[in-house]
Amino acid sequence: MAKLTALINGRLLDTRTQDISILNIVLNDAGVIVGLGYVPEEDGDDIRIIDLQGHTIIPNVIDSHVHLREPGNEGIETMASASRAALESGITLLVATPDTHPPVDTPEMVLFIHTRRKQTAHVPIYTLGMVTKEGAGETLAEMALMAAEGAIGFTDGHSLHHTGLMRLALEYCPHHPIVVTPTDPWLQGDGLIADGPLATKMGLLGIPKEAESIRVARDIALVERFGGHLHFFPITTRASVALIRDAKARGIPVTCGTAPHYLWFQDHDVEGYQCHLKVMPPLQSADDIAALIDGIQDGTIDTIASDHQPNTVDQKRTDFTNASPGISGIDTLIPATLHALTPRLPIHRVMACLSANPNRLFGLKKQGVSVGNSPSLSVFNLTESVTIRSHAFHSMDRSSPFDGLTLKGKALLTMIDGHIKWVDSSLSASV
Amino acid sequence: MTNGLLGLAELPVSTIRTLLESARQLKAHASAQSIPLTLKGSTILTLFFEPSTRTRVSFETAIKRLGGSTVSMAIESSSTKKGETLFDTIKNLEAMGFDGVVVRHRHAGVPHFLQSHLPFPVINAGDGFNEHPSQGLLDCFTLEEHLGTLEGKTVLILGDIKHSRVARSNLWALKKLGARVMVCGPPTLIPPGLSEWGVMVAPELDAVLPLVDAVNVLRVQYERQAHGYFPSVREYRALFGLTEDRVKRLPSHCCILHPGPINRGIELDSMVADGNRSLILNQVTNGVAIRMAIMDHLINQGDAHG
Repeated sequence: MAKLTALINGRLLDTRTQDISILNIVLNDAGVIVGLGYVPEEDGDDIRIIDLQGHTIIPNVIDSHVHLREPGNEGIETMASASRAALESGITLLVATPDTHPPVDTPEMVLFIHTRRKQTAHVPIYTLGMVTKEGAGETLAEMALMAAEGAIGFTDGHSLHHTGLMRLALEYCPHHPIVVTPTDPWLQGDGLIADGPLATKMGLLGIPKEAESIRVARDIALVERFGGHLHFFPITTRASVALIRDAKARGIPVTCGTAPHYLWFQDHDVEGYQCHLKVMPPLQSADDIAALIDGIQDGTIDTIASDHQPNTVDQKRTDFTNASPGISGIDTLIPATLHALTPRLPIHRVMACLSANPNRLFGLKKQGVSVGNSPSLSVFNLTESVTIRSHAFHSMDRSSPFDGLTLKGKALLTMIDGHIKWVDSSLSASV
Repeated sequence: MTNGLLGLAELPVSTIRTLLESARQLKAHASAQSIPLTLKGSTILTLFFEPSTRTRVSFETAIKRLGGSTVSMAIESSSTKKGETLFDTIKNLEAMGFDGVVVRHRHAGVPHFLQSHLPFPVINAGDGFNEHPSQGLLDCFTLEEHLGTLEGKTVLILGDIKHSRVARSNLWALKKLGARVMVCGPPTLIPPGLSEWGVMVAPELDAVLPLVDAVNVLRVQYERQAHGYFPSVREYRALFGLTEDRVKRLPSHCCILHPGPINRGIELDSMVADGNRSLILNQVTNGVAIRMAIMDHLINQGDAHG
């Protein structure tokens, strides 16, 4: 085994400074960077040289919102399968939601997740804890003890319907983000798709956009008055973007994110009862998509994450009402995001939503690419197109609305904590 | 893909015309007792996931009059009681090899799902709030019988439009046949976007009554009251019930339809339901003719009867 590894001719993108520097990274066998910018002269048994051919190095790419099914539904997805999908997509860390069975609502469960991921996962998995016990929305869960065990934030999924309890949660937990999917359940009712003519035409009940924006407005008001840090995910409507933009301008500590499918697909794409596009919150209009893209451009939207919600074949192979919402998203997060947003938006802005921003949001202390560090990073060919073949997904849910689409942005190499964990065959062939 | 009858929204007007004309001929044959046995040797499954008597009986009568046989399967809202998925139910039906299936389900889109997995035609007998195409056709048939043509005529659909598959199928067919469609009902039960299809929403019933050529009265579902869509049956009747007094405001030629079963004294007064404007029993008679036309068209599609 080579004592040194050199990644040469890589273009390092710093999403904060927007700097792009061509550089060579030399790491020792402990995964520590021992040199930057030079290549050791000896090329032999003592050094493994990987020529990145000018492709782009981005540190700390993470998928900051994935629903894992382990524990409880290992037949749908496991930490091993989801993290394999991440690894081969250039994603170096997953943030898992706590809606497992049992849910992650105690420090013991947080410990279980971290123990289990160390045994089975291919990339680090950090978990959020429940805000309330069992996510039932009645009493607060032991958020401080969960945080002490390593929970990096909290979520019950939807924001708490009980406004008084939402206030208490924000007051109690000021140092960690609470992640909420803003949805008013009464306005949502039995709705399945966006409200409007299409819902009328399909004979389905619609969900008004205000089911989302009303909650965003309420929760912004709560944070403004009672503190805490709220992260809305996913947001899907123009009104929500506007509310959050305004709140940020007033210095209120709220952040938000969205998922690639909300940038790609519109409400009318579900026509014909397309179960693979049944998602919750529902798909919205072209105008909402334009607002989301504006929000990413001006920094209103901080994060883009897959909102990975794997299902079994049978959960989707049924009628639209019965079909489970959600899509398998880890395998497509990077190409779907890059293809939707670049070159319309600058690459540093897009990648910040996948790296620096969510890392900062969850307080993840990640090492940069400098001597003495053991960074996590990925290498992407930002211009090469790949045709999505969902049957080849590493996630156990091998269905996708992106199936068959040709998207640009191909992962080539993934390094975790200074160690190369995966190299695409196209790159390893050139070694 | 095999074409069934999933809805009227996507059905070309030429096919609607063909079906109406075929029903007219079959109705004439029926009174002459000379119905061609075009379904002889065919077995049709009626698959009802939701209770229904008249629609199922109407389909079965139509099929039998054409010489076909029927097998009836009623699945109390879900065979999933035994844990079977809809997909497995479908694969079993496929394995049994029917010539067609008539399906009703409380979820919109179930017939579409069936059709995407079955090699024989699926006939939608009502899917959730989406469509009830045979009802839409029989209503148009009945209206044309009475009015001569639907071209330029104004049809008022009265009641819970939001949760009504009858309203939707009527709306699509009526527009295609050149009628003007007006709806009226509690604002909570008017779905969004109707103006996209040129449907007029009447804010108040009494003002529009003199303007219409037909009224299709929808059944009041009591569960809507429980969900708060309107405060009481009494208030519903006061605002939207087709009472004897209101009927006096209708033009003399104006006829009244109702898909049944009627809540007498609520959406429709008994004297109105039984009165000389009422075409409700004609609808039932015509329902058999329309369903004969549908079954003949679909099962024998591609041959001389197509």
